[in-house]
Amino acid sequence: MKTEDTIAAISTPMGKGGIGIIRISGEDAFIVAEKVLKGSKRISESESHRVYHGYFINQESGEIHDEVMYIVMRAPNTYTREDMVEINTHGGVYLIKNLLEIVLSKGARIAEPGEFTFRAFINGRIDLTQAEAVADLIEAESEKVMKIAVRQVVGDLKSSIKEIRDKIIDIYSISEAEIDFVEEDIELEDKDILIKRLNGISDGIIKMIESYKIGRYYKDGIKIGIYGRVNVGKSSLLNALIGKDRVIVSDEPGTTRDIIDGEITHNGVLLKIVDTAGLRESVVYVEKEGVKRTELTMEDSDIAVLVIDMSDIQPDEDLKIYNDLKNKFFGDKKLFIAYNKIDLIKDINKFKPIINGNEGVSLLVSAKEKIGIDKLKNAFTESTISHKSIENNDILIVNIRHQELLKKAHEGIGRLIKGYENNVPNEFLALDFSETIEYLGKITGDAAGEDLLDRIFSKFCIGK
Amino acid sequence: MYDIIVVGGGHAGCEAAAASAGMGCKTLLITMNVNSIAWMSCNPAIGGLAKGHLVKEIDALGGEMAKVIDATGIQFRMLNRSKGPAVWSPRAQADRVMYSSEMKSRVEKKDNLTVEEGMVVEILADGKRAAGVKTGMGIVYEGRAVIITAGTFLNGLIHIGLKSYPGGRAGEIPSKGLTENLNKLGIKSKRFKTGTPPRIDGKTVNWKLLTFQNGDEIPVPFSYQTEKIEIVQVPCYLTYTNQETHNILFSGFDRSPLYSGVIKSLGPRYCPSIETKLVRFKDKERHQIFLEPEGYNTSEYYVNGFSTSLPEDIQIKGLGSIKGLEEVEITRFGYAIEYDYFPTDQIKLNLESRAVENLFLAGQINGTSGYEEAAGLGMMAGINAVLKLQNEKPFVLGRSEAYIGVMIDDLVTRGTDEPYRMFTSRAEYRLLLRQDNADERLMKYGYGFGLIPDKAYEKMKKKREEREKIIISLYKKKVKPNEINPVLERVNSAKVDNAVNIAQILKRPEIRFSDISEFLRGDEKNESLDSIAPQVEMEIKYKGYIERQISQIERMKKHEKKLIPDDIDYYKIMSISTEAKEKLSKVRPHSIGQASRIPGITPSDISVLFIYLKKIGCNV
Repeated sequence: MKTEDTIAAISTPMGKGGIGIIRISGEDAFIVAEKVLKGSKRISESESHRVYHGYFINQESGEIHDEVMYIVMRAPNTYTREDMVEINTHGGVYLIKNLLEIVLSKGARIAEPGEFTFRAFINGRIDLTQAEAVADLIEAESEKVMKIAVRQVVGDLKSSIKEIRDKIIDIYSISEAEIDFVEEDIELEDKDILIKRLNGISDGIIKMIESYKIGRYYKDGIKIGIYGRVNVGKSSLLNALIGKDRVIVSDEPGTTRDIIDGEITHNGVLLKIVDTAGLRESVVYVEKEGVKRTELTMEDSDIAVLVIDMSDIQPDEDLKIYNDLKNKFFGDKKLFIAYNKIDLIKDINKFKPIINGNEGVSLLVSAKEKIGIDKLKNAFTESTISHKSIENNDILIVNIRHQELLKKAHEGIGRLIKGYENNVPNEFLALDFSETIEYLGKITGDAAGEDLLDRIFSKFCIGK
Repeated sequence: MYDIIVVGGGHAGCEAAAASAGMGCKTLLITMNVNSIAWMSCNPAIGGLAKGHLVKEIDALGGEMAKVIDATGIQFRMLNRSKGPAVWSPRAQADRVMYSSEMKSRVEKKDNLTVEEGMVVEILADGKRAAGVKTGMGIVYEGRAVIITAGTFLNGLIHIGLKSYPGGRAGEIPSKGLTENLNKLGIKSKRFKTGTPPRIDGKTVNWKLLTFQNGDEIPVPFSYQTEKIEIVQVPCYLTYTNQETHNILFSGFDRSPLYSGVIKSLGPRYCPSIETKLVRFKDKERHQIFLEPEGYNTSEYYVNGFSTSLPEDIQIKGLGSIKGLEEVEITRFGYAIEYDYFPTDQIKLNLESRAVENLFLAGQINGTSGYEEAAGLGMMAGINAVLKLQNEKPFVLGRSEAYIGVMIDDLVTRGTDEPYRMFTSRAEYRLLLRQDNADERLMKYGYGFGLIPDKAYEKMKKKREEREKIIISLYKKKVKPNEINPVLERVNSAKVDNAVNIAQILKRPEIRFSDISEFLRGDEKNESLDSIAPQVEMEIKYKGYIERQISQIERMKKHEKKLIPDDIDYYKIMSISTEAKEKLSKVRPHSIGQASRIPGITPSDISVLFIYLKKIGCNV
């Protein structure tokens, strides 16, 4: 990305809204704005960070396009650390796009996705973690993720990682002191204590890694696949879950040929529901394709819901699908059994579930009568998020790059613990120390090596 | 008319002059006192952790230090033997007088090398190029290149208590005028401080009360060209300070130049005075004190661990409170010294001044401390001055090649705000930078410069071949369970069911090379086996780690290959901080790799620099 020209973009979501914002940033931001705005003062003479009233005009024809509010912000106290102008226009897709076109014709270029943040990063306004968090913020699909991202912008994640990194550097400095100051009369820590400290660090990192699972649910939503043989009411269940008729519901078997998404927010989390085509062999090509894609969704989903028609139980077929699902959904991937069409059952006491209660959570529902639907939704969020005791103040990892680096750091700590146990000499351990510290530094942007010697000298009385 | 003039006859100056003369240049070594050539100002010892590595590297390049200590060392010890061979480090006590006269005689005997006495006060510059030197007596020596190795002598100021007097070392006058002359030529100077402990009369020590420490039973020489250490070895002695000592020392703090504000310059943290140790580590009940012999023909001892600039009466009372030193007589008092040095952002990686062409700066004036650091810099300055005159490419050692390379890169790229000393932890690739393989790493260069004789070079090649052969056969040769199991049983190691190669057995943490050496065929067992065993053992046991280190080096080298043009204007890069612009302009890194090591340069600055270089069409 180039960083020396002037960029502009619409920074509010596209759609019907009361207001739309166009942002311009770069060296020529004021010159460009001057050409499209008419207010009480010239742009270059406007006070920084003050809201002005004015008109969006066509300089040549003098035609007024919109009545606007605008803010002129002078570098470096801006998000990108460049000169910026923000124009608050009236919403409306056509109008705002048209206004942006005019801005672009006056010397700005359309910003690439994330370019404002990129500039903020390049110009030293925010560090890498913060930049990533802003990206997460923009993409955030739930309120919780927004909160997490905001905390990262403020620097919470950074300080937690720094704390862990600091603890590792501390142990590293002991290891190095043992090498370089063997002649000195310094008291060093016992190996067992060091192992204990490393284990503590390892636990802390694991907690952060684990938090990604939840962080990811908040950020990307929970993917739920609905499975079952033909005509058990899968599409009806989807409709019941999302509360609107998005899927064509028909009594004819096999009409759900494509994987159709339904989305709903429940307990602040996005549920992404995938209805699947019937899991059965078919001679029709499109159906075959559908079956294949159904299998793909199994890989992808966090939760599977097996729908069984209570009024028409087919033990062979139902169990076969159940067994297929059981092989894919265990551990963090949850499996639910929704016994559907409870409304058709006269005497519930006579109903015998065909799957033991222990092997999946069973619920009785009626998609048609909306019975048990909220319970099912609660089960989705509770089984993935609520049961984990994540405190409100805990750091949630929502970014996959952070997750990967933490995993590598965790492996490094594991090698260190093993190394200490096997009496591997310190100079070899140093490799794992420095790599682990580097991985964590990559999250916070502190890749440059911390001066180990500073740490050693502050701790030990060295010097004959 | 000389090719090269070396100003200063200390550890840096001797190596610089010897290298220059050895490479065929007509060389003048000019020093203030010919009798104190290679004089050890502080403790009478060479080597130690990481410093020992430097000595071996100097030797592999064809320098003098290792040979001189081998001839005059009176106690040799390999430090860190309990750890892996990568961090073993040789150290030796020296006979101070013998060391000096041995170096003097070696230097004097060199072809192409003249030694003269005189105090240089002026560097003659032809425009911005060094052209010779002028002494305080007005004598002019013309030379095509000048290497300054003035040590602590430039405006040296000695402190004992609140008294101070000008001196380059106790009893020797300082060098006056040269700093001011260099300042005029555009080279900035700053002040550092260091110190030294008192010397005592061994006749007045109650030796029976002290623990002694002997050297290694079989002393291992520093030089790859020394066959054997011939000198009889002597012990050092150990004692400790106590609470009373500390009280006495504290009572003199009102007259301490360090704590009364007289000395403002910074000293090294790793070599603190006893005062500093007391202040910084209040809870420590005692500090260890080593009594090191000054030599054979003297009863003087060096009181290692008791560096001080407290007044004389406090030094006497303080030492007198230490076990074994109750009746001690001080022969020379400890003191602190302040001196001029030239911050190393003013030199290039070949140690040449950025301000004055053909002027090289080496040794303690670069802000280092230690004989070995000085000698390493002197060696490199000598070689590079010759290469400069021959219009050859500078000789720059990489961080993955040598401790010397690490040191110079640290100095030029990172600078130093305290006297710089080498540590193994400074060398990020130290698994490969061992004291035992300095010859394999560097002798090819020394040989190329004509500083290493054929015989030594051949010996190195043979050693390398032997080692490689043994490693191959350890991987190839299989042992049957009935052969190896008795050995395994003896060391409590799990038995094997099938034939395995010996390397596999050696990989086990509990197995040492000596356990399996009997399985090597006769022709692979030879005299040198003992000396290469630790290397072989390490290379097999920790193969995984070593391979990781090698791949780290490869990654690093990629960044070192991303070159930055010399004439780049950092102030044109809009999006980096002013601080980064200043630092980059000062250091002028030659590669992205070097740039990323400059303190205060953030990864973000590096990405911006990278983008900028691409934009201006650099092939990075």
